[in-house]
Amino acid sequence: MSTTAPTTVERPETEEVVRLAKPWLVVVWNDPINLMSYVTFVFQKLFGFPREKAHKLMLQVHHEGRAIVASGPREKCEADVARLHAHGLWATLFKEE
Amino acid sequence: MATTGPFARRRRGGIDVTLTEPEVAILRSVVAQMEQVLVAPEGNPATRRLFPPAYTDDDEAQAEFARLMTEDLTEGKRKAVVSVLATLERGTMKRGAWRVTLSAEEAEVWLAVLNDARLTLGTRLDVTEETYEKEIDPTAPDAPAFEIFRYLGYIEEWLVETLMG
Repeated sequence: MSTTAPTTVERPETEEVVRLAKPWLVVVWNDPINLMSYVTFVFQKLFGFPREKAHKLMLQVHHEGRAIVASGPREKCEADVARLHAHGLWATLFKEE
Repeated sequence: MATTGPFARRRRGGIDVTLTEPEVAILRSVVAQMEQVLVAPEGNPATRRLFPPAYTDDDEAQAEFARLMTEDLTEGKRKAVVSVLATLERGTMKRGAWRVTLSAEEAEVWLAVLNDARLTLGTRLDVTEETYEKEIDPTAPDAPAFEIFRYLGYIEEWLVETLMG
């Protein structure tokens, strides 16, 4: 690790960084088979949400047909979708416009 | 409330399962069928719900996602089924009921398999939101399948509540 403090720092292209970090979104869709309690449980387990937040998201899926449950870089969102599929939830991802 | 369901959390971790023999027979049969179905899930309409697309408007991205993920996903589901079949073998009859103790991890595997089985059967039966409001017509040819679907919902609900409780 360098111990020399730089005197000048080139500023990163902040806008570019923000644009590249424009997140992908993970959506869970309503389906007529999964139990409401099970969906809440999976949200808690996979994303570490407190029960109340998990329950609210589940209700959003149930009443509005879908809810965004995660966001971030594409690879992370793909992994989240795969974990949701492993738990039987109907999930997709898309890039935020 | 002194309700006794099929599952009870143990004080030192794990879940006690208490079932009747007919329930165990149903679970054995359902889980064994899942094992069959997962041997070659590709293109099987019964399992399409277990492998939904990740991308709905990008065929190329979806093909790549499926190429990367489907094998692991299938393998995970197969292992889960094998694990549940093993715990079903481990159970014994004691004091007039079938009993087994699951570790917390095994209980979550049970939940995953029960859910997969329910999704597969529910897809085959074309279950919709309205299905739950209808009585099962005992003379219909698929009445036994609907009874099993209903049973899976009952036992899964208990297991979720026990794990969350």
